[in-house]
Amino acid sequence: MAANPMQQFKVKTIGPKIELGSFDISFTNSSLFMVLVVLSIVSFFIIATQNKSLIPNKLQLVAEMIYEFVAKMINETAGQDARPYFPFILSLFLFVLFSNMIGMIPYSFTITSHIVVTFALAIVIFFGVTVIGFLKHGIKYLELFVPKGVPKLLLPLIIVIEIISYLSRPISLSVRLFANMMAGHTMLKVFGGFVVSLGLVGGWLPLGFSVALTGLEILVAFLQAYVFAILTCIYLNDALHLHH
Amino acid sequence: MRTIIFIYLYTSAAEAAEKAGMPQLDPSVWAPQIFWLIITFGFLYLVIWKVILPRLSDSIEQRNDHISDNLDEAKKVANEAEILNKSYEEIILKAKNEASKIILNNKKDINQKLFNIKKETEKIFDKKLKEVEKDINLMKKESITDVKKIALDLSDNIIFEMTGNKIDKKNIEDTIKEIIKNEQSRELN
Amino acid sequence: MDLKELKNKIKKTNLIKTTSETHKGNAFGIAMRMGTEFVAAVFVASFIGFYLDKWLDTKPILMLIFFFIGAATGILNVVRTSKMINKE
Repeated sequence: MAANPMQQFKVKTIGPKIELGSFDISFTNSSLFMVLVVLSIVSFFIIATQNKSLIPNKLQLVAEMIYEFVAKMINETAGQDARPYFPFILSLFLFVLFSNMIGMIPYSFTITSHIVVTFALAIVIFFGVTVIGFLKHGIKYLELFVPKGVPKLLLPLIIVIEIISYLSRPISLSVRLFANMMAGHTMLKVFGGFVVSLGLVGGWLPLGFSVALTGLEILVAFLQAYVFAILTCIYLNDALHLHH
Repeated sequence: MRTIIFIYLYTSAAEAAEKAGMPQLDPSVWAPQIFWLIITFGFLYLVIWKVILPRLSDSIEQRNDHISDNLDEAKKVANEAEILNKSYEEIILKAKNEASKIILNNKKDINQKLFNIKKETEKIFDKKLKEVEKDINLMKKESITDVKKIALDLSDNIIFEMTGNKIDKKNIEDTIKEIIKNEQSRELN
Repeated sequence: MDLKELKNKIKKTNLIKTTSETHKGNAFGIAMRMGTEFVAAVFVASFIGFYLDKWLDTKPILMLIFFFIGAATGILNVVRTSKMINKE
């Protein structure tokens, strides 16, 4: 643990350097945590649904709560038509949630604190939603950029604004998650560093801060996963139901 | 202004990585992350889609079915119970009505019977009374003739003792009859 | 068990089943969008302006214009978001 709070975000190659064409695809600590996240999600749900009983045990109850939570979220924001995208949104929510939560563990790596990762997810959502919109409505999907009841003189400006607004979606989606995770973890590290450097005498105050901050960060970790998923639902809703 | 700096940082990412010390902005770490993200997330998506979701929705739907089945059954049973309750109440009401009817009828019957018995006894009494009256009258009549005879004999004897003559019996008889008549008429009055 | 009790129980269970489906709880999620939404709009607009400038060799006019358009977009986004929250 170096004094530099940015050190925790460093990507380090594990094992040999692998190259695919001109791309570096080496296995890194980030890759390791991606595998860990996926394995923990999969094993949690496999174990939770092991003995399907009518009266669920605690694990099964948690798994079903997550299921109902995401199902309700999709239903409320994007309606019944969004049902086919349930597996994707559930995967997305769980991936972000588990990445954020596992990142809370000291000395671990937070996948979602990397803008590349969040931006890759956001760009997939962005293109996916756009493709769905065009498949569903054809060229009429472009009406999304032409709001009704706008004076003709203002229309070109409004269209430009609408396009910018649409294009800014993947940016805001990815930056929000990345910035929240990075800021939270940086602060935790900084206060953690204070605790160590001030020692037993003066370390109590920053320790208190650290504890409070950890609680807050757990909340933020959940909230950001939720926001990420619900925004995906809202964008999906725009693509499925073309009305503003 | 801050936003413009922010944008500047983004447009020259490699430079910014050094300046701000953010490992996230070092482009050399992008490719491996994206590659492994596709692999891991793709795997997660497949497993959730093909394995986890069917298992979860299976047990949830099964339970929902079970619950709604039970609920339906409970409703059915409740309805049946209500119907039974109603018919039970009806039966009780009917029985009550019938019982009161029977009681009323019985009262009438008994009254009728009592009345009949009373009448019959009265009749019997009347008969007996009449018979007795007849007897009395007969006895009265008999006694009158007896009295006549006795009076005749007695007066005959007395007259014979006193005068030594025998008087015509017819004469005496007429006198006695007159007396009795007078007596009787007095009695009647 | 009392018949009335049973009926009440059935009613309650049905009520739970129906109310749990109409609950809305994403106002907070929408509220979380606001700040970043504004920054992202300004960023995207300036980015477009920056490259249009490069292409048309009009540095830095278009970037400035687009910066303000981006700000307008950001404000519009924030207004829309708060409208959405109010509608909930």
